[in-house]
Amino acid sequence: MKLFGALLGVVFGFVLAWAKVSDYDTIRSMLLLQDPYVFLMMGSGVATAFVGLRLLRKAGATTVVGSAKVAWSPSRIERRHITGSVVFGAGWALAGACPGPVAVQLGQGRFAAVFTGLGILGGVALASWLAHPRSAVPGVVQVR
Amino acid sequence: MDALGTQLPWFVAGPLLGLVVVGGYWVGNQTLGGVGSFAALQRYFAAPREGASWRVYFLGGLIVGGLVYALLSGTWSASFAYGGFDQLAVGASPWTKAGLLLGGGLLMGLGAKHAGGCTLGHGLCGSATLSPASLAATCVFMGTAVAVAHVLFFAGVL
Repeated sequence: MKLFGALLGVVFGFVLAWAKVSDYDTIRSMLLLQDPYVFLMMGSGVATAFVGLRLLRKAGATTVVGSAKVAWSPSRIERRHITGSVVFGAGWALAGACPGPVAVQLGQGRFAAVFTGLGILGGVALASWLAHPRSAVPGVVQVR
Repeated sequence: MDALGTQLPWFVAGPLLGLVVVGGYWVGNQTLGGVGSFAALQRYFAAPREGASWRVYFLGGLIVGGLVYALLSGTWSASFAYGGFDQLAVGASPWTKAGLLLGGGLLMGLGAKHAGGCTLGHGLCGSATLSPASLAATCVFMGTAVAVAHVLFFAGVL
């Protein structure tokens, strides 16, 4: 899975870069509703994946790793999906790039993304800590 | 290669990304994650002896993908320049710039980790499977990002 993961990442990152999704200006004009490009791109991406996944499932395809039937299960809406997404959306408007494109920016030599990336790492650590104060950071002894 | 310098049409880029999403399932019934990959990297830093999940390799792949594109298109250059951000009032000072990017990243990491996904996990993968949680999350973060961008714009920040 690691090798396939890496390969999928390379293709994904390459396309994101070529689509200029890792350009700040692209996201700015997207969120200010000046340019529909990213919405159209995402919509056609979702549509393609929707069709592709259903074709795979219909064909009874099995996964390359593990040989299980290709399948997925829907998730019920929980409060965290809403509250977390509000916080995420605000951060996205500030940073002008979401996590995937941040990684792509690093590859392109756009090192402003180092700050965004460090922020993301800190944010996920904070989220984990808030959810599980004791187990999130192994080895840390709680002082009472 | 001049074609590489021109933005891919949306109807080419979108389906290509969609095919990669399908690839994630075909390989191992996995969703692809943006914040999820950063979270995997953070988990690895926190507990290196547990090893790195495949998502860390996906993250590495994203970086390499960007690198390969930049090299092939002749656009690679090491800099802290950040497009139109630098023309904004807050982009002029390196301190406010770094602070805003750090803060924006923090909110993205905190929010998306809590929500269980970002534009990739919920927006692309989860939406493609019509998962209610992902569809809801996508609407909320899209709406919020657009709203916040407009507020910042009218406040003269963006």
